[in-house]
Amino acid sequence: MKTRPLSQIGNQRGFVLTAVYLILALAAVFSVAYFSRCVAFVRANERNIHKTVAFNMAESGIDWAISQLTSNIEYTGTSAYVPLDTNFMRGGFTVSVTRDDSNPKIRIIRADGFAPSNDPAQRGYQTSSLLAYVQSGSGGSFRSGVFATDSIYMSGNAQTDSYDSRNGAYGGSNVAYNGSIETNTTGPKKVTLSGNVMIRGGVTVGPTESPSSVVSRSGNAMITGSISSNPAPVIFSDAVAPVSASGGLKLSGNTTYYLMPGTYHFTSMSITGNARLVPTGPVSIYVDGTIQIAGNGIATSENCPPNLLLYATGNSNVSFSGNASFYGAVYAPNSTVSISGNGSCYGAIIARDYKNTGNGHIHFDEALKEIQGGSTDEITFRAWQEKNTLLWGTGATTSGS
Amino acid sequence: MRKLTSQKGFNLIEAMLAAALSSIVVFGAFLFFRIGSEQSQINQSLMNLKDSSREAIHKMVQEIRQSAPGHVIIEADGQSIRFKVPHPDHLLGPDFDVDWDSAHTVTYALGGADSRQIIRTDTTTGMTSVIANDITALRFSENSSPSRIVTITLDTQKTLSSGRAVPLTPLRLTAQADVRNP
Repeated sequence: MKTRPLSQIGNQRGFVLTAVYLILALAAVFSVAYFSRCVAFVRANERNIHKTVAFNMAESGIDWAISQLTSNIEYTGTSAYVPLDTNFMRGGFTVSVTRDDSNPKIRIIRADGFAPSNDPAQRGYQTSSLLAYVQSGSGGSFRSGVFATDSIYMSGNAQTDSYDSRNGAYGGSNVAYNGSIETNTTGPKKVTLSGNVMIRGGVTVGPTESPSSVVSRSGNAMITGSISSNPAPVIFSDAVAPVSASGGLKLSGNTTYYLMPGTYHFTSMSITGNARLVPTGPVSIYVDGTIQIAGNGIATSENCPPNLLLYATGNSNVSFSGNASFYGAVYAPNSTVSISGNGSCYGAIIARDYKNTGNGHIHFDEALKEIQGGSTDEITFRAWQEKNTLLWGTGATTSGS
Repeated sequence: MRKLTSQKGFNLIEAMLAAALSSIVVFGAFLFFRIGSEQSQINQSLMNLKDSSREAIHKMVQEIRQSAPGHVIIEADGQSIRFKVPHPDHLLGPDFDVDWDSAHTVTYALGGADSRQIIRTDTTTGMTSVIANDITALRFSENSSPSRIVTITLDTQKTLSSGRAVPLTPLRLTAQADVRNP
C-alpha cells in the first residue's frame, strides 16, 4: 500500500468540519431556544409568586390600618410605603384610611400591596389593591329585640315590635315591624311561641337548612316576618366591667336611689317593693351576680334606652317581674333572662336563654344598633373588595340565555 | 487527460460503505432530533398546563374570596360551586353592609369540549367564559357549611397529537379561598 505524506492529507477537501459546525450551530439554536423557554417559565413563576405576595401585602396593609384604628379610633391618614422584606419574599404596602362623609363611624381603608417593591421597574413587579369598609364602635350586638343564643320561650300576651328613640317616644308613626327575635341554636323547637304571642318582625335561627324546624308555634302565636337562618352563629364576648365592684345594690320598700351618669359595677342587683333606681343621665351598670328588677324598676333618663346599659358579667339569672316599663338594653349572653310582669321593655335583650311569660311587650329600639355590647369598642368589617379582579364582566352571552 | 485517469477514486464498496455510514449518521441525527422535539413538546405542554391551571385557580380564588359564607353553595357532588360576588360598582348598600341585591351569581363547573374545560357562568348576565382547558377533574369542598374556607382541587392532563398523555398521571393543584366578606 502506497502511503502519502501528511502534507498531502492536509490539502484534501473534507466535509466533516462543516458538518460538525452545522450540528453545533443547530445544537446552539436549540439550546438557546430551550434556555429562553426556561427563562420565560422562571419569570412566569416569579410573576405568580409576586402576585400572591402583593395580595398578602395588601392584606397586611388592611391589618395595619385596623391596628391603627384599634389604638386610635379617630385615625385617618395615608402611610408611607411600608416594606416587609424577609429572606424568602420581598414586598410592602401603602394604606390610607379615610372617613365616610355620610357616616362618621365608617372608615374606608384602601391598601395597595407591592412585590417585590413599589418600584415598577423591578423585575416581575406586581400590585394588588384592596378596599375595606369597617365600622368603628360599630355595635351590632343589639341587632334585634331579643337575641338568645340558646333558646327563646314566649307565651302569654307577649308581643314585639320596634321604634327608634332618636325619633322620639314610642307610638304613632314611630312604630315599625322590626321587632325580630334571634337565636344561635339549630335544635328543634328551641324557639317556642305560644298563647297570643305576636312577633312583629322575623325570627332568625342559627345556621341550618331548615330554620322552620327550630321554631314551634301554637295557639294564636304569630310571626309577621319570615323565619330564616344566620349564615354563622353570632359570637357575643363576655361583658367585662371596666371598674371594680362596689358591693351589691339592694333596694326595697319605698327607696329611691339616684345614680349620677357614669359606669357602675355591683356584685348583685335587687330592686323590689316600690323601690326605684333613678339614673340622672346615661349609665352603664355591670352586675356580677343575680339581677332582680321588680317594683317600680328603673327610671331611665329621658326614657331613652341607650341611656341605660345593663351588663351581666357572669351567668346568674336576670329577672324582670314588675309592672313598670323598662327602658334600656340588657347584655347578658351567659344568663337566663326571664320576664314575668306586665311591664314592657323598650330596648333590647341579649341572653343565653330568654323566657317571657308575662304580658309585657318588647319594643326594640333601633337606636341601640349603634351600641356595642360587651366592653370593647371593636372594629367590625362591613365589606371587603379586591379591585381589578380578572374575571368580572368577562365572557360571552350564550345563545338562548 | 492522462493526469485525470491516473487519479485514484472510490470504488463501489467504499461508496456503499460511505453511504451506509452516512445513512446511519443521518438516521441517528433524525432520531436525536425527533426525541428531542417530542421531549421539548412534552416539556412545553407540561409548562403550559401548570401555567394555565395555576392561572385558573388564581382567578377562581380571587373571585370566590369576594363572597361571604352564606352566599357560597357547593353542589352535593362537589363538582361545581355557586356563589355571589358583590358588584364592583355597588359594593355597599344604604346600611353600609354588602349590597347583595346587586351582586351577581357566578358558577364554576366542568363543561365544554369533552367536559374538560372549566366554565365560568355569570348567571345574572348569562355570560360564560372558559377559564381553563384540559381539566380532568374539578372539586370544591368546605370544612363545614357554611364555611369561610373553600378548597379547590383540579386535575389536569393533556393528550398530545402522538396520543401520549402529559403528564402520565394527571397533575393535581389545590388552593384555598378564604371568603372575606361578612
